Amino acid sequence: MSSIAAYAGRRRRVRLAGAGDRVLVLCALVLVAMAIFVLFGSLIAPQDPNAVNLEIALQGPSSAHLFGTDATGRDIFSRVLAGARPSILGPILISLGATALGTLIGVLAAWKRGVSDTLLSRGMEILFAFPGLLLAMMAVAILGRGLTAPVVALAIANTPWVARIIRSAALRERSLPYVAAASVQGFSGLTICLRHVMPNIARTIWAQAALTFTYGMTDLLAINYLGLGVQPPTPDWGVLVNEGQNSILQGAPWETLFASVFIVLTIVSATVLSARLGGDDTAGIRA
Amino acid sequence: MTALLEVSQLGVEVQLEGSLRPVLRDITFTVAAGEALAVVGESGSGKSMTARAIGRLLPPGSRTSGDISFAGEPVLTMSPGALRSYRTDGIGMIFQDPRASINPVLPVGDFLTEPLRTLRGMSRQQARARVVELLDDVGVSRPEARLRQFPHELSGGLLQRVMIAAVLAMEPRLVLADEPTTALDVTTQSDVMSILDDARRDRGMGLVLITHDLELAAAVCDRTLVMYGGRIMEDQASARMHDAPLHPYTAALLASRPSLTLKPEYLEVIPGRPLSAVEAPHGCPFADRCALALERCSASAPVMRPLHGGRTSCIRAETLAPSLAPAAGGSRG
Repeated sequence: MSSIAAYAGRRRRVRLAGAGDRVLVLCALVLVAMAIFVLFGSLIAPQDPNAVNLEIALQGPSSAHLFGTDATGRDIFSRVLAGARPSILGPILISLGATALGTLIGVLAAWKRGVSDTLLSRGMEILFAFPGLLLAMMAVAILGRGLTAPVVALAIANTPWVARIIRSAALRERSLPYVAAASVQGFSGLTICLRHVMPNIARTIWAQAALTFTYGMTDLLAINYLGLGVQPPTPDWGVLVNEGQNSILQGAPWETLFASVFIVLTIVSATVLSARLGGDDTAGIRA
Repeated sequence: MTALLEVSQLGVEVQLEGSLRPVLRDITFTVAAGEALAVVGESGSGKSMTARAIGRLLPPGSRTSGDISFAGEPVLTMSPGALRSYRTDGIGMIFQDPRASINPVLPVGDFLTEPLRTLRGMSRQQARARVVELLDDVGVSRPEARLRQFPHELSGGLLQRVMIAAVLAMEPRLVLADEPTTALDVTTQSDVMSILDDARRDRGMGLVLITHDLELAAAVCDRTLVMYGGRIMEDQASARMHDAPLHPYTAALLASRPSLTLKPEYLEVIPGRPLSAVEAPHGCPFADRCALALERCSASAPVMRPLHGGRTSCIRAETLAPSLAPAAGGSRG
């Protein structure tokens, strides 16, 4: 059984291969921290994020209030931590929806080819024509304020980006001999796609999911900033940036600043993760 | 023996640079149950394309004419459902490069047991037991441990055995082996071939062996089909072909091999370069390189006809046949 032990050892080494990449480790730590805030943010928060106290309004960072206080004296640190959940869960849902739908469409188009591919690809191109933010605003106008409408709209708006990249990855994969070998064994197209094609393009799918998360977050926070999504007093980061705006002129940029720092940290970390996951060819900026 | 596979007047055209180009013309042959047929030819002669046509694996946009029938069923017009059961129960295909033909992200065990479980309805334990038995049959040591390994952890020879085991597991009635030994070293080659040969004898399955190795063809197969430029040149019993080829192309191929007993200064060569099937002219594709060609060789498409118990497409075969035997008859060790 020594061979199995050796095998297990080899596997562990592969898992830790990313450990030498300091930027990646740092970004992973940021994302882990954000995940903890999402799960336990309101519990970790030192004070009630919604407790108003006008006597201590617009204070700078201090030991009592790590990030200072806002215009109504609420603790900004607590509000930023509590805001992690609405700020991050929305983009995760967008990413899940767009990745699932995009993967489905991309793999289907690559597998069927011919007319189905043409129809699906042209359909995606029509969707490209709508800016995600505009689609989300339209959804809010029709369905009313709240998270549901913009999340659904942004998931749909991000689908074609994922679908296009997954389609090309799946096309490349399905032309490889092992797919022909599997189909001549008599496997159905569905089995081949699920068991053979998808596991082989899994890295690309994960990279796209991470990238879609960042785009979803940018757009969703913009919607929240505009006051069309999450409603105050829920301390969403987009809402915080908006609320802190007026205080900037009064010499207290803390609320906007710290909320923005959290947004930037999250998005940069997720982008780096996506780039490292997908290799350089699928990473980075959408054309 | 009744014919298991019947290919008649098969023609295939594939999309190339936007236009349909013929790669196979007038391919006609049969394989009986338990028979081994070798398909021999240079690169680009259309041998792999023939196998792909039989497995319905032609590239998208290609057009076929003629007929392929398997146990009486027409293959080219099968519905998707019939095609799947033909692929599961009828044929098995062994590919040239096992490393490219096995899903790299799944352990070998999954690759082997999956068809048995999803297509044969075996339980996980049953499939596992069957696969271990098969791996043992094809000479894979410590089969239990291999099941947990990934394709990249196995050598080419082992991986080709794994692929053969996967094909044999489904007990197909016909195996199409597309240069199964090209990626392997010589000693492994003979092992792999004897595994296939044993399986053919024990289970009475048909075998189509695609190769460019004339010796291998003669050693394993009853009958050899020689292809060139997308056409069949000659078809006859392997043993006879070496002594009495029916086509100048076969004779030239036989003459250009190194020999164990003769030590000539230079090996014979066939002048010119091998034609790929898409470039083949209307007439005999070999006419340009053939020392014995006449003008009429290029004038009309060659037609296969029976001769001396085999078949040939050379229009001069009757007159040439007696002179085509290798110069030093029976010299080959």
